[in-house]
Amino acid sequence: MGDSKSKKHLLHLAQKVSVLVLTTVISYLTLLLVCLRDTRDEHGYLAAQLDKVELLKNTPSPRLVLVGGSNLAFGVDSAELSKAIGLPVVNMGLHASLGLRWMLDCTTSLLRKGDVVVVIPEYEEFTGETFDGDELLVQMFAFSPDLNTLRRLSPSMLLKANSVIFTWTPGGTTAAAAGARREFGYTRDGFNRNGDEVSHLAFANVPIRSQTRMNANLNRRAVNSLATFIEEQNRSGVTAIFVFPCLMKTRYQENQVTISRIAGELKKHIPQRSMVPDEFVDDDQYFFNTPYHLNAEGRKRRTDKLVEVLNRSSREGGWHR
Amino acid sequence: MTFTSLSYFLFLPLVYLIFVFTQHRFRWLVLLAASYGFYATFNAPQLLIALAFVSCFSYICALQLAKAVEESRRKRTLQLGATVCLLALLSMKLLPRLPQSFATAIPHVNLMTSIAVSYFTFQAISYLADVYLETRAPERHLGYHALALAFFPKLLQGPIERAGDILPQLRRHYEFNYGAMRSGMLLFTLGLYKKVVLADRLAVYADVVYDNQRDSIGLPLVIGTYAYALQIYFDFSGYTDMARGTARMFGIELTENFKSPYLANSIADFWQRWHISFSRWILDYIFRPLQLAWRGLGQAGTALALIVTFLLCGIWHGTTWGFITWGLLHGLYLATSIYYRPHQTNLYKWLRIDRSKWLKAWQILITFNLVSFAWIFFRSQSMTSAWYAITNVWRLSESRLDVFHGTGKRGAELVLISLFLFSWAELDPTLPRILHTMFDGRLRWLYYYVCIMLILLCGVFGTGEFIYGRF
Repeated sequence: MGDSKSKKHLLHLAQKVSVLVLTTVISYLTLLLVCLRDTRDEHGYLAAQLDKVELLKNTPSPRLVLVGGSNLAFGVDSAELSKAIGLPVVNMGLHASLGLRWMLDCTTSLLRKGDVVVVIPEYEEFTGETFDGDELLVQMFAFSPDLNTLRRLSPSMLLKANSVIFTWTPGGTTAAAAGARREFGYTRDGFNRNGDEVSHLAFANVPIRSQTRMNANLNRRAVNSLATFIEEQNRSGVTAIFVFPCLMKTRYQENQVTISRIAGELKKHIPQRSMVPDEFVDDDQYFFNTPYHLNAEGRKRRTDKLVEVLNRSSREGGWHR
Repeated sequence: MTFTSLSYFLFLPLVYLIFVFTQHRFRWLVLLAASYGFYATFNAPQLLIALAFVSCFSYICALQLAKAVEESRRKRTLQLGATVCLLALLSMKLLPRLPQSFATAIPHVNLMTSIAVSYFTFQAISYLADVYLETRAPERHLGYHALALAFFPKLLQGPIERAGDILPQLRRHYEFNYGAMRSGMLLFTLGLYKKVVLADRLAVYADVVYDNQRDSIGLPLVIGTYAYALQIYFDFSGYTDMARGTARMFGIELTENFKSPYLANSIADFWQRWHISFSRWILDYIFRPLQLAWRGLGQAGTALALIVTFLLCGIWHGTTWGFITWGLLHGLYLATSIYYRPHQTNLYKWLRIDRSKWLKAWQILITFNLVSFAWIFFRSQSMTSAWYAITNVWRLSESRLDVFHGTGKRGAELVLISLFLFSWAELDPTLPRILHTMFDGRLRWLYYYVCIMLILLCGVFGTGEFIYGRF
């Protein structure tokens, strides 16, 4: 570098820029925390996580624990499943965007010997970066401010969570939540005592808009992490099983190549005999408002299928009820 | 890695510090390594190979061109160089068209992208043409030549620089300049604002309409089309500002690629203000040779050359009918203007309105609408969908704005305020003067803070992609 004067100038500028960056980061994070606290809706959909964790803590073992995204929340009749399997069922399914990594983290510490954990993540958990979660995890931190959630937050998630600040209106949340509860909306009250979302069952199907194709980039880290989770659980006396999620037929057909690749990769790493993705693919008429959310009829069909698959898995894997 | 990704904000200062504390004679190496490293983040080694190949091949061809005496040999060398560069471009463009199963067969390798290839091949071709025309001597240092093609701020989306403009700057001894650094940072920030606050917010409205077109009739189609016209401008000019800002920090001045294109009063004027480096390139290397070849046809030859040039320009964007129609429309706009323009000018003079402000405003409005009409084909997913938009945009009485439900009132307000301020700054020099005073004053660091906070709070993060990165 040139003369010492230039060096001094550069150093001076670097110092000022560092102070500016630090000030902005601190201001942004403070503002984000304030807004997250203020917009924390005790009746909102994400708040259901608190009930689910409580349910998992208080349900005696052995039990059947369902882990995944909203395909589980909207698409399983846990009471029926419990009757058929003979174990109490805890449905931990909430939202795919929270990321499979966080979902597994949350459940691991609460599992006990003899439990059966059935992991049913959406296909998107194995493509792109969904496995790590998105800005929804920042909002979840407002409900669950623990180290487990904090360590999963990345700078890009914190940045993307700026929508919380951008749309923030002091005191506006309650009104919005009340509005959402008047008709079908994603709320905490919509879940039953097993953790199933049931408020949508009374509503007619909502037209499902066409969606962009699944990201073709396979996330091998996600597959490996799931395989490790299953292996570790099986070693510690918990039976861990992977099952494919339900999916709307047209969505499945549009993404068949990607889904086949995901299935192939999972098969390589998870030694289970019964693993066929199209087993849970159903006609579009059985889906409520997204390619993963089943309506009442679809939910019944999926539960029956799940019972069949779990019975088969029980016979193959030898886990007892 | 793109300019809006967090990793770029670590990459840039790191490269700058290494660059500034390296001896002058090795600085090209720092920038070249950084540029290839930057390109490598796209997980597409085939693109790195193409870049290295085009750099080496054009370097050798240029030296051969300078050495050759016979005109026929010189011409053959130029043709060979340009053809090989175009073949490299074509092969990279065709790779993503392979069956999906093949394209995803190699783990961790992204065969689906051809990002940046057009820009460096066009620059290599223009370099060869300049050497052939003897407007510049060939670059003897392979490192500097490779750097001129790969320089990371302009690698992904240009501007397409002429060798004569960029090479002397890369060779110049760098001295830290506080003013240049500050202005580079401010230009980068302005570009970031254009991209993440304006373009990505406008995208919400364009996407709502064009991704679910059957739900839109009348006004939503008008709003969606105008939103896209503005989105693509702010997206691309935002990128260019960030590229120019970054380059300025390293003491390099890149070509200005946009000069208020939506204030153009004719389509010819629009192309002198829109993607300037590219329009100059197609004018010099496609239009002029064609015009020369068809000069015997007179005006018809020029009109035909324009249509063919813009048709090729459309095909460069993609081989779908939408892009082809978009190019053809611009070709037709320009070709017809050759015939009516002299009569139009005479008519305005006869009516004594040729200097009227109102006439200019009217021309700007017409031009903007013609350009926006062509964007319909550019943005629509198919010709059927473009036809739907064109035939249903007029049914204004049946308009239902509920398609925009959920897009957020605050976002719309922010976009409108920003558009008002940008228009004000374009039309009246008072605002830029006020801003200049503010950013030069004692409270400038407070204003910097406000600007960054505004971007952090109002930006849409996570999309990252630039529209022109696909081409």
